Amino acid sequence: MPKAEVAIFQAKIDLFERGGPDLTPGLIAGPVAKNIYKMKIKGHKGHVQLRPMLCYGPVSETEITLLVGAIEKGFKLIPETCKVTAQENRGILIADKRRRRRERVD
Amino acid sequence: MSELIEQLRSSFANEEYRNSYAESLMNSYVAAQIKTLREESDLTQEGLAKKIGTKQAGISRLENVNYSTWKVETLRKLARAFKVRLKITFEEFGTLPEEIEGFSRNSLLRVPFDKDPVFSPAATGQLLGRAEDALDAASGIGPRLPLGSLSLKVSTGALAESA
Repeated sequence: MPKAEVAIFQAKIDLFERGGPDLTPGLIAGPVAKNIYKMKIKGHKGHVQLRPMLCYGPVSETEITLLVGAIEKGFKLIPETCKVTAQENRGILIADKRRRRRERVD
Repeated sequence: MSELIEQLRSSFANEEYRNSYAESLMNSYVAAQIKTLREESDLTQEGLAKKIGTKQAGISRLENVNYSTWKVETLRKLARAFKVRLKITFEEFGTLPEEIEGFSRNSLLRVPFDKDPVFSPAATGQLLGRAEDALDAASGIGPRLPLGSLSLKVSTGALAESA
């Protein structure tokens, strides 16, 4: 991702970590599939619409987990398989909780 | 705090990164504050829209962390609706980590003018009392009755009699 997009993404995450969904209105939407939500981030000058897929938990109620990266173009998610991949990745994490990592995107 | 500064230090070396990060933060902060102040004022999005002469969908857009095309005139109208003042300042990047770390509902709340302790009647009385004490101390006068307990009557009849 270009630096500007990474920065915008990281800033939203940093505020979400501290304020939660109540103080970051419009950031998380969905569900787009069972247990799967999308984060809506307008990229630099609106050129790219970042739509990382995520789930609440899956271990702690106070965490969200980013499952797979995606973008949106013309109301279509790219890659088309992102929802399925997100569900698969969620299943992997539930099976092995040690695979969850807290890390920055920058 | 220091952990966040450490994390941002290397990334902020890149000018495009730090500018985009700060702008993203500002957009999110303003959106969150509008939502918080609206809720604190017991206003629905529709109620606030009526107050500033727009539609509910317009307020919904302003309360979205991705909104970025702010107009000072709209912010001014919102400030009036919330009975607070609008303050626009330029800030150093160094103050940014503290803003992030302190980000909470409380940090976004502002007291409306009619509940502002600086200008509420009770607070004004206290300030007046302090001013009187200062005047007495300066002029060497002993304690006197508070201004609130004095009443002055002006009678045109009495003036006419004495004249």
